[in-house]
Amino acid sequence: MGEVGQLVIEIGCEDLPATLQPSLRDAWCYSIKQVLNNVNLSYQSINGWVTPRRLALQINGLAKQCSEQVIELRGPLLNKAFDTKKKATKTGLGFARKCGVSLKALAIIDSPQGKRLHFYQKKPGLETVQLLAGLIEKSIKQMPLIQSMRWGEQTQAFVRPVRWLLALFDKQVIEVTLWGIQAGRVTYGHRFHHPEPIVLRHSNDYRAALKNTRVIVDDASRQKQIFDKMQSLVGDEYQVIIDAPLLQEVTGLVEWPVVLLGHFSPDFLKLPEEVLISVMKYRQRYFPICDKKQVLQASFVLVSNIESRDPQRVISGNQRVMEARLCDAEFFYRRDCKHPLSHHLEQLKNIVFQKKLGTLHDKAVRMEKLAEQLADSLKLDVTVCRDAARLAKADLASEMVKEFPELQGIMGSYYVSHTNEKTKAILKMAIRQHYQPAYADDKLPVSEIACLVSLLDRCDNLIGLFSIGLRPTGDKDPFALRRAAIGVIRILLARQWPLTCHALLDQVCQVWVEQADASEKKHFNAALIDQVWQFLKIRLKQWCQQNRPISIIAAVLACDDSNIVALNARMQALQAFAGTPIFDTVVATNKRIVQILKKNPTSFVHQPWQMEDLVEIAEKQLASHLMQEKPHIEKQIAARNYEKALQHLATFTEPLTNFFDQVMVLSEHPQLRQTRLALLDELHQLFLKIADFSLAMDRAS
Amino acid sequence: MGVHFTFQAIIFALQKFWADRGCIVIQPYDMMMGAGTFHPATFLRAIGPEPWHCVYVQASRRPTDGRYGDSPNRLQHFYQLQVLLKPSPPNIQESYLQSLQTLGIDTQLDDIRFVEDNWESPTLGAWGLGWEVWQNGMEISQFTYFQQVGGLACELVSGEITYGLERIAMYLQQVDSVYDLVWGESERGTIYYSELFKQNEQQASAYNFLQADSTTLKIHFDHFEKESHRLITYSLPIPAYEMVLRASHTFNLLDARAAISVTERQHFILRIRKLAYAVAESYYQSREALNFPLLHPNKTKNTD
Repeated sequence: MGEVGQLVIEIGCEDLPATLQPSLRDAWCYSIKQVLNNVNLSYQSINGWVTPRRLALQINGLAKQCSEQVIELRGPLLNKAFDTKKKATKTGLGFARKCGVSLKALAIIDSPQGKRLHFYQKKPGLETVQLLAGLIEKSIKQMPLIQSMRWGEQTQAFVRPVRWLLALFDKQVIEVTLWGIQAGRVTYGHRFHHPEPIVLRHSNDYRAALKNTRVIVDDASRQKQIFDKMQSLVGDEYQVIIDAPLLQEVTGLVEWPVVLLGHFSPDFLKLPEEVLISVMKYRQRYFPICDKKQVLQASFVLVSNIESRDPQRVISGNQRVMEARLCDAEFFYRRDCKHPLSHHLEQLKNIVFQKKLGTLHDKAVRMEKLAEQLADSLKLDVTVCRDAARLAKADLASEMVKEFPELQGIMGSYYVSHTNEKTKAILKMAIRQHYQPAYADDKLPVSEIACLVSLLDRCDNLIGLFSIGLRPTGDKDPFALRRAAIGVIRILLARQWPLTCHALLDQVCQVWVEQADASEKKHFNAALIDQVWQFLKIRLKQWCQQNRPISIIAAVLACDDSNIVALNARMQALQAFAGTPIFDTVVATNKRIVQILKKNPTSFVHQPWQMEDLVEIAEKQLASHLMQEKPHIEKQIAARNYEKALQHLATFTEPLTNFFDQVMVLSEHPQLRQTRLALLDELHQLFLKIADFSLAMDRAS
Repeated sequence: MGVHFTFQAIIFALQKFWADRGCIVIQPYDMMMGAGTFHPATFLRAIGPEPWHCVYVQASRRPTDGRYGDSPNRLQHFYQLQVLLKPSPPNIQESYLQSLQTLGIDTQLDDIRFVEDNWESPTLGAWGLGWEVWQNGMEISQFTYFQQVGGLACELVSGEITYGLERIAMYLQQVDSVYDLVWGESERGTIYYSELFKQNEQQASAYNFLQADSTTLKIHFDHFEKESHRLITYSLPIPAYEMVLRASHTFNLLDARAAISVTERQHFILRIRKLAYAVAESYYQSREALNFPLLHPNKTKNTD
């Protein structure tokens, strides 16, 4: 191991967006690693740090010299390199030229094919210092930027304007120029506490020098410091409500965190607590505080970036802003409360759902109709379902949700009124929770009616947006239809609602048709329903893959059923069945059936057959077994008792094996041949009611 | 306690500060607009390769923000002090912070921060990246590096600083209501913001929300749009731009009257944007035809 040194690079920026900082840091770490590896430059460790004003890398144990490089090239055989008069041929000269040496300098070695030319060179590794400028530049250019901008006359872009550049390899400055700035040994401390330049003697001084000038460059320790200080500030009796993204964002807003405690008038605690939390977290980046019983307090924690001579001044400034924000919120809340939720529902007429798809009021009408239709079949209270579906979106017209969009659903649950307390509670929950699941692993709504509203909302979106061709493409899914589909699947499965997607989507189409203009009605057809079903099927496949083998899923999804609960039950039964010894044989015989049927025209296959047309014992046995078992199997399938159905199907193994052993399906005699094919087809169709076994991989493969 | 800054003193101080740093002091534009960015000294001058540094106060009209003079911090008419630095200089943040210091804001005392806030004006076809500036948690300024204006990518990037004058004044004067701000002192006594603007807010709110005749406004909008397009065909981008300003304000009034559905809304915005694109294009050509005079500062003496 040769000599090593430490490299520190710092890009001094105007304030980097807090939410982008972690990914920037990681991206640079990644690209520098790649760049170093590419030139065989070894190092011990890399630290990446980020603050609002700097992005920094510290590379420890960086070799001062690249590893030496051995170049070995296999040359042509001697009889190719020289002619019979021992004169060098074109091939021989060409090889020497390629190696950059004269022919005489090449070695001759033995190879299995005979003696040949050989080139061997040991290149001493380049000095790291000579390479670094290029490597630094390359590592920065290779960083993927989520946001990029230009400034002044500068043509090279970055996330925010770059103002200084530091590049030190131990004591030596690396001469690199980027964004028109030449790197040096100068950095800057805290913007207000130490605006003067800091000249570093050695890269090793970097972190400490910054700390002395009130910059904690290491974001992880800055974050920990904020976390610890917040807890100690509020004491044991209270608890700071800390969510990880906010903590990370706040860490990215300060170089020298000073944690302070602010208060607001307790009168505001009359507002819904979600409103208070929204104002604190999303508008002001404050942390709410609650007591041990989870009761929200009229206080907040703020993280400032200055060791103020008068911290009280910082606190009271923030308190004034907080009070003004809460005044605004209270104003909206009072205005909203003047009217019942049904008034806001009317206002939905002014809010467009989608340009070609009418207003949110139209959507509310559709959802109400659907809820009415489905409540009955799901044995839910029709009136409550209707009310919940109709009112679910009403709060989108409220002042509060217009100002705080993240409170959709929540405000509606506060604004709902009903004479019956029990009904009111159900409506509250349905309105609040129907946006769930908001993402793939989000919680499902707790109540049944909330689930119904959520389901209808998603189905309505799918049909509506697909009808105007706005299905997701590639990685673009602006209406979150993939998530909507997953939501539909999860709700149906969790609730075990026995709804056939085709029938459900058809009902949704019908309510769309009622509203559609004459020219648009035609879009809501069977083809649209099938498109949406195919889309759901892909999500279903993905969802099931979490805990089932893909072959089981594929086999079951091949059968003609769009009842997701039933499909899932089939998968479960089939997965269990796959563990039994007979499974492989069932798969193998099914594969054989499918192969035979595939080779013959369907017109020939899908035909009724007569027992008396069969001749061999084995086929007669199979036929009578089929006739005997079929009603039982169909009964079990209708009852969704797939395990039982599979047990019955398993009994075909023996007659089928005998059949294939003893019967020549493709007989010369056309009548006989057709009868046999038709028999196999009927059997195949029966199997298909559970799964296409030919797709279910046997355990051997 | 530092200097007591009246509203007018704040304007004087900031104008002087930026004038001393090479900005031309422009006057407010004599037309209604939603923000200082709409002033031709920003929107038009940000286009093309010519350097340009200016400062001005501009009244902003936001009809929907009217509160009949009842809200302590929302107004349908308020002032912005706007600075445009093209190309943006390397010390733009430091200069801005110094300007705060001339107002008596002590950066060792107050917590000043630059918090990401990117800007987009769908009507102007413009966007940029930047921050809102916080003073102890309150937004007092907007800071934007223009990347695109009127649909044209910025060759030379402008840095735009917008001071919310009322906000800053409320802070400096430590008042909770905008109407309690001292605008200026005279021998006859103190003139408060309420004296100047309370009646205005009450009456303008009544006009914006209740009285504005939306049928006629829609006709006006169509007319301004048509005129703007027509003027472009005569290569008159400046009057064409004034038509854009009028169309834009008319749209804002219709919005306050709740006379536009959301679908229509998007359509109106796109119509204005189309005009802004055409103006930007035509303005660029008109400067190009003059060989971009501000690129040659010694030759700009008026000879014709």
